[in-house]
Amino acid sequence: MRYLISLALKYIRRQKLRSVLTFSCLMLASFVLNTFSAYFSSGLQSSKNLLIEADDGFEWEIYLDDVIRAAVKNQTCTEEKAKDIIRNHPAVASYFFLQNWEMDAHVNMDPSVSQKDGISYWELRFDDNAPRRYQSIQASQLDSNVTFDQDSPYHITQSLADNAVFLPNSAKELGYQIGDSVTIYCTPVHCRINETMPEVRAVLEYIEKRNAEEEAKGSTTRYAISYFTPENGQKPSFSDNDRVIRRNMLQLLNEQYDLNTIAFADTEQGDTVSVTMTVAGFGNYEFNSMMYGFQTMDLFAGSQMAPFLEQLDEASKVFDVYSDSNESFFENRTRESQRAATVDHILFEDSLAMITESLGLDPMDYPEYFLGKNDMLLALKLKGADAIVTLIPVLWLFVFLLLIIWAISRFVIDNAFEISVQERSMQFAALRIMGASKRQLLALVFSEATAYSVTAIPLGALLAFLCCKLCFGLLAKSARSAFVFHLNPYIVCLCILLNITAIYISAYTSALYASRKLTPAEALHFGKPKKKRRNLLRKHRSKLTLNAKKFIRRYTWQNIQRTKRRFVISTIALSLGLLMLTFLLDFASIFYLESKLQKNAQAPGNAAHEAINKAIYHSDFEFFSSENNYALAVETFGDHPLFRAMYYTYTSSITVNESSLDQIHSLTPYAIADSDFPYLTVYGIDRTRYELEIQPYTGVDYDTFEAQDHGLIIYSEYDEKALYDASIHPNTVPDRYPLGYTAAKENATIEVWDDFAINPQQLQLTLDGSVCLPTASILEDGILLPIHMVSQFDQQSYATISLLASYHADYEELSPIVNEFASKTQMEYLDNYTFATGGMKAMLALAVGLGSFLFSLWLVGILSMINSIHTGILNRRSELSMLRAVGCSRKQMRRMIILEGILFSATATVIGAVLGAVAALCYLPEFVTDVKHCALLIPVAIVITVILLIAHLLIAALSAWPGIKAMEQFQSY
Amino acid sequence: MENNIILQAEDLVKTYGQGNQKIHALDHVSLSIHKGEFIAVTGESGSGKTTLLNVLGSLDTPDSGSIRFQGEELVGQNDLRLSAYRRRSIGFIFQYYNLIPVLNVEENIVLPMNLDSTAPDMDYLAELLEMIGLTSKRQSFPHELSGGQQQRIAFARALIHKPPLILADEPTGNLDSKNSREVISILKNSIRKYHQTLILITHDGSIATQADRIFTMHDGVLNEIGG
Repeated sequence: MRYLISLALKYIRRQKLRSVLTFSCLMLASFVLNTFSAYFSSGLQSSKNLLIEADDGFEWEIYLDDVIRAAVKNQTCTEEKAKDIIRNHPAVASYFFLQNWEMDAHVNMDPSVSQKDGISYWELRFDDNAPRRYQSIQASQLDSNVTFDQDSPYHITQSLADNAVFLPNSAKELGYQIGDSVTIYCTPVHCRINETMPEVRAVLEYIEKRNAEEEAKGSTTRYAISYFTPENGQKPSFSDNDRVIRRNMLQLLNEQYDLNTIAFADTEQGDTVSVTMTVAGFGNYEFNSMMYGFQTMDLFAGSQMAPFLEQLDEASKVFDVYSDSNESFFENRTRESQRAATVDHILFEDSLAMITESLGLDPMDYPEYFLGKNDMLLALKLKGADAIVTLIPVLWLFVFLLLIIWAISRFVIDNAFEISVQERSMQFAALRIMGASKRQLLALVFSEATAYSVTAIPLGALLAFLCCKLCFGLLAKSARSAFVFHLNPYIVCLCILLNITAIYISAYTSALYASRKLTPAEALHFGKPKKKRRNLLRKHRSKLTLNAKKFIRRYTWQNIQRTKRRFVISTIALSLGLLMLTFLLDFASIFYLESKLQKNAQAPGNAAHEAINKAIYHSDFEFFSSENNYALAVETFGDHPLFRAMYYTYTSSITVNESSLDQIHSLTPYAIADSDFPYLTVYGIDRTRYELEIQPYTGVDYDTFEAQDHGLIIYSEYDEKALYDASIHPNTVPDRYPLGYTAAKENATIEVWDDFAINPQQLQLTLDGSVCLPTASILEDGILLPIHMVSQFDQQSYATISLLASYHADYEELSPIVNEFASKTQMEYLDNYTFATGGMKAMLALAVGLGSFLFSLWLVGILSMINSIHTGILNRRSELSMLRAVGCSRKQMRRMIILEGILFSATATVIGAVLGAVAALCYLPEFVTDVKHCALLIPVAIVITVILLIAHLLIAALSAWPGIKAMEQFQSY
Repeated sequence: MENNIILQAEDLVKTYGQGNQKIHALDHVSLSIHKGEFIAVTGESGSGKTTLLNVLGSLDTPDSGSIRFQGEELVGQNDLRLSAYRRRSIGFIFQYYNLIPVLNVEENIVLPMNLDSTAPDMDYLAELLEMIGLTSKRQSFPHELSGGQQQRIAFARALIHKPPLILADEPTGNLDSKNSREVISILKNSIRKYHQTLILITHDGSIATQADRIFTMHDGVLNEIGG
């Protein structure tokens, strides 16, 4: 036996090329299988992490609310006792009892529905400090044995002592420090907004003034004031304007006055409730209420907050007399969530039964489905039969994929072994003649298989794990930290076992062939066609008058037929890789073409505007503010080396009178404002944006534009209304106006009012002309002014700052600069940079992952092809020597081998590409926005097939090279 | 007589290995062969006979020396010229017949013509088949034939393009005496009929004695011993 093992190792050592080829094939097979195992187990773990992340860090499996409630109802135990049982239960790995209170105050401002025209709020005071008014107060409390990380909101709740509380930052400004004692007083308040308030009167005066102006110019437009004068008995008209004003009354007041100090009318207070807590920390826990102007406050507090909030709820009930139907002015919403995860060493179903039983309930009466379960997480953890069943369709897909991968690996390994063993048929026959038993030959081949297994499998697996680690590392860095590289030992072991099985099956079948199926006599005449083939060959008629080219073609084809099995295996291996590649390429191409088609459909004449689109819509950071922070923005970002451009746009709203509107419309081909609703947007833009968007049309530089203090009318090449009509009536073609500048015959001076100002001011603007802009421009119809002129419009305005980072800038460097500006200006901002660069990194990571997987599959196919060609040459050594002897030139021999490779790869490419296109066709209708787009697959598939074919013909020619080199070594016979 | 020389080799040297392992396969071998001659080369295994045949047939290149075929120098020619030389001027016969298993008898025979893009002379093919006694088996495949039959196909393949020079490396090594006699008879008939030259390597003394001249090789050195 020892001799046989050493013989096997000698063969591996001395037949270097054959050993390298066999080793490469086996290593790639291991790479492919372990790529699957690594991606599958990392994918499972990452999905699990994402689910846990979505639950703010808690890995829960079951809801216990219903079962605890049932226990309390059946009086088998109290709620506290039930919780205590669960805390100490042997089947419970972790528990999570969360209580959340939300105390809401409502505002009703619609008198047409009811007389509930009052508003309510919570008046909250810290010790003797001035009261603050809140629309909502929230508090939460947690009891759990899980340690949450810093990012989880549960982290704060969990770490609190019973009497501890986190306060908003505004309390910090009052002088509180961590560890201080604070008494929180809270009072429910109900009040009204009416004309008795001077602040409301100021708003009404403005509206009356506007109405008088409208009347003076003969306009029928009226702004609603009747809501604030309900005694006239008339309901207000509900035009858009009315709603805007009514809904914004509290906000209008908030803009002008401090809502914490304003004196509301008909104020009534409920009982004041108090609680004394210890300050645990501060945070940004105050949020603007989108609708009302009052703020919302989150209090993360210990258990002593619970009785306080219950008292507060009681105190607010006094105001329910104001409510009709089911609504209240104050609403207390308490939410409880009692969840747990079970231990892994007990069967999930048994764990549930044990918990139910411990609570004094009969598990038969409260079966598994009675409890809410986190089925997805359970399925990913492969716990619970019901949950696993939900994952079966997905698992089948993976099983199918694994089978395909295993089949590829199996083909390749089989091919490598068959070649390696068949090549030595004569040696085996000689060994048999010399007395080696069949078992000894099997042992010899198995020794080789073992030698390959212990080297190729670990190396292939290691490479696969490294690629996967790289991919998931990139994903974690760029997208979400939930993406982690993880190796599930069961999945890895399964794949390695499949790999070893494939190797030993191949070794066994090849050894059988060498030792049993082939007699020594047959083996000594290796290459002898079998009976079946003999019949096939008989069908051919002699072709004697062939020229050299035809002869080479025929001979190559007959050689392939002679080794049909090897040809089929190599072709299948390469085809499967190409099938997946084509499938992905087809899909990606169709999506790309579809997005192009949609873009063109949305914006007629889009091509010319691509550049503007890119320049304007792409911004790395985008700040929004109601304040005009132009000077600070220029100072911060103007010459900063880490930013290559800044676009500043200040947008406000104005009203114009009829004569001014006529002057404006004399400069535009269509009406940019409605005469009954004469609002216009006014834009103040900075130099950068002006030079990009406006100067190419006016030819006037920004310095001149700025010095003149004049405005420009801007309008779009398509009237928005006409575009809308065209979208409804497909046969309608909207008029398209030429891009460019039209100078006013004489400077038009118009009168404008800044809209929504409590003290509106009339201003005069001189217009130089009008500019027609592409539809892609972010600037819509309106008036364009140099940036310094817009400071006079400060109502209903907002500023947008778009920043483009320098190409060499790094997020780590940019982040503090941008954050500092945001905190200085109190501006919110969108961070497209991290998203975009992160997206790119995520895409890169996915591409690396998918690419390495596809590449390995493809490489397996190519190596298998090289192996087949090379073996074919070695097996026909004497035959090829004879051809050389009878005058076959090297060129002809090369042509023969290259032709063989081309036949391999062309067949595989066509099969793979066609099957890939068919597979794409099966799935495409589910993903495209319009099924008609599936027709694009035909030209796309043809183009991709042709490209792949050309590429593979070149690769085939290169793949034949090792065979050619080997052939040239046996020049003489 | 000089003009009658078909192949002239001068001072051929071919060595394998280096240092102590160095083997002189051809040690300053010179040889002149006339048209229509039947040359037999004998010698022990490893004496350099096959190397000599390979070098003369341009399957291998000598380290030094010259080979002139019909006055034209072969050493230093490119592969295309040498391949054409083998296709048109040489007929090779091997000890192991080296037939192509996927080609039938007649396809195997016309192989050199196919490679040369030349239409085979069908009458001559029929004549050859008749000569080797395989007319009835012209559609058979090599594995369906006996060793002697296969070797006769190899003979026919070497003769189909009527090459002026036939190089045969122990063609009867695998055959019994009856078959050996038959194939040698075929060869002799062919060279007589078509004025071909035959260089034959053999261990069989009875075959060697039928040659016009007999050479023997020992350690790469060629000596003429009679004829």
